[in-house]
Amino acid sequence: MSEAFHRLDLARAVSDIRRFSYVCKVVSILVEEKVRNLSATARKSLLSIITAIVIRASEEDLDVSTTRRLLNAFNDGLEGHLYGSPQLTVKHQMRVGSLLDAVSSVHPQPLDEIDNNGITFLDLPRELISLVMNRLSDSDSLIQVSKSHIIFGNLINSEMTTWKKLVLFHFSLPQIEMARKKKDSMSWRETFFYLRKMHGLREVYADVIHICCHCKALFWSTIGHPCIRPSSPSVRVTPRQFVDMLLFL
Amino acid sequence: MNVLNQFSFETKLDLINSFLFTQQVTMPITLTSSDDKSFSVDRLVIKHAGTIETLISTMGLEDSEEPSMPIPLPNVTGSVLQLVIEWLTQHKDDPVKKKEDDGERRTDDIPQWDQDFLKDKPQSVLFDILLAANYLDIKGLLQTCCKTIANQIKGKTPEELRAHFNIKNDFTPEEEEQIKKENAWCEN
Repeated sequence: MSEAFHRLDLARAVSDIRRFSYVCKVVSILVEEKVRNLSATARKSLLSIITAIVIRASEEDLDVSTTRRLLNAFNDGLEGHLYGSPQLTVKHQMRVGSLLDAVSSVHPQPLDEIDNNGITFLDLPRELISLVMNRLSDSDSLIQVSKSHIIFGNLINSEMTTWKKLVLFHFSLPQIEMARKKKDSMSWRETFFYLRKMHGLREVYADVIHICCHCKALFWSTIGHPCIRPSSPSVRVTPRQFVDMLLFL
Repeated sequence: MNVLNQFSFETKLDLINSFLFTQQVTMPITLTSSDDKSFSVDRLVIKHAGTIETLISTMGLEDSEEPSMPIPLPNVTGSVLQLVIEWLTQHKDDPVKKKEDDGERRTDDIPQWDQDFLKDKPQSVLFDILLAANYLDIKGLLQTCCKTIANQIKGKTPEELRAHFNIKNDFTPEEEEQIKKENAWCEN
């Protein structure tokens, strides 16, 4: 497993936004469910990927809460009986503790203090703000933004298109029709949470790991791999399949 | 043997046409920013900028072979225009998007060059570029800016968002409590 992590360069893939969400998903499955199945070496490589995520979060002020969640889950996973030497586990726990400290000390960059003449997010025209909001694919971010300022709140909650588009993105038309048939007066926002409970959300990644059908090599789809038969077909590997593949092979 | 002999008649015709076409469209165009800075750009470079394209076709400059008069862009400053031209030059070989892919709610498919381009830009510059992209109707740049801002929003608490975007909290404690109650049912 550490070999696979190393060869696929997961730690460095974190800094590329196209691969970040895939790596994050793999790490979150591992830390939430599989820490006990991992060998000490595998835990060590997992920790190095998490460290890379923390560095990215603290340097660029991105995905801080995701990082915090991963670290807490890993910390919980390290409790109890694990493979490998107990000393190493203690060392890992200390490392996670210091990483957690590093994340909590991340403060949003003091922006625009020098030039107060610069425009801020609120100064943008409404249609541009709503264009940005329409890019958010998770309901949590939408709710958090709507709580941050009255203008965003009005924009998201009064314009039902934001929720409607979110529903249309995550679910298929028959699913939506079924849900709306059950309750006629359901708003788009309610429909979203109802359907999320029923079907879960769609997972989209800009870059995924593929497995080549000919040489059985794992590779990132945007990078490709050297193959004996260059045009051989490949199959997409979801994060969960990837984890299962590593644990049971 | 002549190299052209290996091509069929149609291919040769296409080659000659494309040669003539590129000859025609490479006439440089001058753009003037709001602070009177002039930029001379290749005709091919500005193909992504819908506003300038429309302006050129309405003014009938498409076929002119003489250096045309400068096009004023009163809503864009020189420093921002320079950045926009840098982006356009990098993407001059990309196909032009006819329709906005507004249905896709993705924030992670930003090309590597664009990621590096916007990485160390201060927030106000990022917003300036966004406004310029909107004004000049450059769909690719507009989407890249929106995705970058959406990525900054993702996974932050309201307090962190206010600090990040330099926004003042205009909710009273009572209002905040009310919003918390409204959202409580869907947060779990």
